[in-house]
Amino acid sequence: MASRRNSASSSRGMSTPQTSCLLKSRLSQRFTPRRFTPYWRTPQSRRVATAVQSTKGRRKAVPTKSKNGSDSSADSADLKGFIDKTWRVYKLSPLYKFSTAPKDLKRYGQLLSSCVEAANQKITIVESNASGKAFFCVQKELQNSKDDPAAIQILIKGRKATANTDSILLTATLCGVEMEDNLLNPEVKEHFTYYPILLVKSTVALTDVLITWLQRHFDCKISPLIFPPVHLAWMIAMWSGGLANSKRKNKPVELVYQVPSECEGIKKITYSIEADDCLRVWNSIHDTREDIFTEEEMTTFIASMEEHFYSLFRIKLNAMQLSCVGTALCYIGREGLLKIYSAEHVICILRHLTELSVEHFMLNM
Amino acid sequence: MGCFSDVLRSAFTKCKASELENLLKQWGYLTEDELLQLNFSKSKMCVFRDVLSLCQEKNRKRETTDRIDQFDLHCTKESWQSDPEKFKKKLQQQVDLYFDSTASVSVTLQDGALWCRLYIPTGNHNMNSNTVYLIYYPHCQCFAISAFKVSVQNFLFQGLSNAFGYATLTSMNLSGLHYKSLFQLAFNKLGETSFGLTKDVQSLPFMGENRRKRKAEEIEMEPNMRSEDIAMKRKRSLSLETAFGNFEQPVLESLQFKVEVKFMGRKNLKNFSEDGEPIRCCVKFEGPSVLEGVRNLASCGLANEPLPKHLLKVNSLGTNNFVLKSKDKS
Repeated sequence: MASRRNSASSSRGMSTPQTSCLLKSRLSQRFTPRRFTPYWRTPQSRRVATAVQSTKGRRKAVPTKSKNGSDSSADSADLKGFIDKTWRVYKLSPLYKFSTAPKDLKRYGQLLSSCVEAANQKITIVESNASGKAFFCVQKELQNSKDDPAAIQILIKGRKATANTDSILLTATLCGVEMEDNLLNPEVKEHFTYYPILLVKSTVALTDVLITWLQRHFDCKISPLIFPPVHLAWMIAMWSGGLANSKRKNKPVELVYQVPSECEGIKKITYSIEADDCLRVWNSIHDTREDIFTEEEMTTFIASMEEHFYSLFRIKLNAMQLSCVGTALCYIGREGLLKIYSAEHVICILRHLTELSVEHFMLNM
Repeated sequence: MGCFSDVLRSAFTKCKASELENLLKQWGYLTEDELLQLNFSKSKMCVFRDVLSLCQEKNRKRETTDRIDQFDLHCTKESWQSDPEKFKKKLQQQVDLYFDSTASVSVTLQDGALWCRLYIPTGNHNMNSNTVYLIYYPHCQCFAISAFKVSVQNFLFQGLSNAFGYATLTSMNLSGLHYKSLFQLAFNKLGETSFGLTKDVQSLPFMGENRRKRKAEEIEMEPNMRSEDIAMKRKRSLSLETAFGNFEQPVLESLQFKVEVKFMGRKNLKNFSEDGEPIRCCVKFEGPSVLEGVRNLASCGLANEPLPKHLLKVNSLGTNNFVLKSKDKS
């Protein structure tokens, strides 16, 4: 080693201090206590905290009226198809070359029908469906602002083996309510349509068929929209007082906690509180004149409910996770289950779900 | 009477495929040769079709339907010392009195208890909702009954109280899937049988061999690990033992409390107006064995000791629906 070093420097005639230092540092690197750290600062792309401006943060504006201010009763009558059904909520990435022209929608219907038929033939259980025809149509009731893409309703009608008449086997809605304008890159905007939410009500098998077809046909990715306990807590805070002013009896506010698996014997604890009492507690925390909810108010609310429970049973609910929440407006489960009870608040709920889905999308961009 | 192929089919769907062979032997209606003919490795539906054709060959309709009702009973559950035939006659008398002649009764003796199946048709032909099952341990003051229609309730209760020889029937508000546990809990509350207070509790059929002593909790002592709070853990396990006892708890699937007390989460709330009105809420614990679960919550640290009385005393109160109200001070 030593001879080579000398020859290198001697071949150049004059060894510059820099090269000799460089050689020295590389060779002696194993012997120095300093570690080899080429980066002195985490690069922009890897910094999680500043990668995305979190919209949740500390404050949350809860507009109860839509941006256009048009909340006519005619709209809520048309939205009755959304209530009292258990939907599964999925989030999607933008769809490539999806058009809402009637001719194209008809073509999509035929393609999906043939896909459903093929899937039926693969199933060998006796009670499979005899036929399935798919229909795509535009649902105007959900289009609230001009930036929203036209909501599409997908229906699959078919005949079960035991029934004599056709029935609707699958109902699905692709929509986005009151989205911001510039979510997609302008260069690709003309080729892609972005629907943040897909709501599906159907059997698991048919839902799988629909999702595979959409993914394959429009080159997108569809996955269930999971609601972590934090989001569920926000929804309780926002909507527990929703129908307080109406005279009919409201459903109680329900919190379902999942007991961790180390504790064998109990799977879940359901804690339901009458809606009026819940509202009393909420009003003492939050100033009703303000439209904005803060995170402190939300955590105080949940904490005081859990404290009341603790004083009754000495069980610590804050050590367990929320898995489902129910209010007078809707019932939401962690795995993406949704059931809406009030037609007037469909837009409001879908708007919130759109926001959650868009947030996921932005985080992953 | 219900079309017997329907009864047989529903009975087959209720029982597990692996137990099918044993159940058919217990039933005793098919001869040994016929049993050998059946191929149990095929699916349940195939076995069902074979059994149906065998029964049809026998061609003794009235007896067949009776025996098939009994098979339904065998299948419904797994399975005390009284004569089932006499009891059946009594029940049948009562049922004929109150309901029309298409109602049928069937009784067997299993595991020390009388198992009864009453079929009371009420117009709509859905068979499952017309069937009522009853479990009765003789000389015990309570019986277990499955779901029944409200329209038959009055007559049913009158008939049953006549058959059992008691004056009134009251609901204990205790329900679940594990019938032996239900009887244990009911017995804990009622405390006596018609023989007077029994000194020897272990001899009752539902109390006997099934009470297993729970495994002692071993605090693991790995050689290299030190536990900081061994004293606390020992203290906790001792207090749980005194609170819950050494035996495994009876199995309950759900425990419900309706609570109406003043709001007690006011620590962080500044503006909560204290108008004295109670907060109404309803708490439900659900799982495979809730009473064990409550004990485990305390041992996992998810609940602080001492646990409140209303959780500790569930064993002796004989019900799984409670109402907690704050005492009126006025």
